Amino acid sequence: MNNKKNKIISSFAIAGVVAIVFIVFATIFGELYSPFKDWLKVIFNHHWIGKGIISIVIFYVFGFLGYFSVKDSEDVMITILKIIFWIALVGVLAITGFYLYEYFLAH
Amino acid sequence: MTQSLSIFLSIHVFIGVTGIIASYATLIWLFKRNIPIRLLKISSLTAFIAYIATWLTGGYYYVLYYGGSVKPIIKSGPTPWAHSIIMEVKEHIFLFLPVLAFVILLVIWLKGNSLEKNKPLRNALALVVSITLLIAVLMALGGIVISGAVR
Repeated sequence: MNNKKNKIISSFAIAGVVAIVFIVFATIFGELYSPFKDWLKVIFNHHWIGKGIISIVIFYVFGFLGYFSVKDSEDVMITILKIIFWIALVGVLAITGFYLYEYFLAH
Repeated sequence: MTQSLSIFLSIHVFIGVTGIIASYATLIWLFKRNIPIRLLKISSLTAFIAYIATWLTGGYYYVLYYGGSVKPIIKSGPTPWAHSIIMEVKEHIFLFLPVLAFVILLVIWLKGNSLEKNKPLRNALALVVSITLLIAVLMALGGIVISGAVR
């Protein structure tokens, strides 16, 4: 059972990494390539709703499917937890840096 | 603003602060000599529910009212950066919170009993809780700046 727990946490932590990478990508790409943002608006009524719904779908689909392929190791789980911390930190800096660039330099 | 939107915004702020308190409590309790697992389970669950609820209430206000009524006022005022930087960053980075809070919830509910002995696991979890708390605090500070920009 303990290995099952490691696998569940690892798969959802990996899914979290993928979801955060998607959010950062969709945010920056949506600003640089307006047809993508427009597509989100058409499908989801608002681009922000689209990003939110897609990120949650990615998170739970990858979380459940990842369970069957992830290694049942505590060391792997701890490593992935550290990775999600770094990805979240880099994501915060990337999105903040992008909008600072857009406001002060691009326009 | 209608009364229902005003109520939604107030609830959004209140629940957001609740999430911050719950994340802070989770971080503090992780480093107690005798880790209070039951309290950690409650705080991590509270934080997760709070971030989901603040997402729904804030999203309702943002999609229905902010874009059409508040954003134009801020953009034409003396502090357009309050929207162009602060709000843009806030609305997108916020989306990290439900994901991070769920991962924290899973670790505490599934591996809570081994946190006291397993220091590498506790420290890795503390990193994830720290970035969650940092983002949540930044969201609250961003909200204060945006509210100030409308006045």
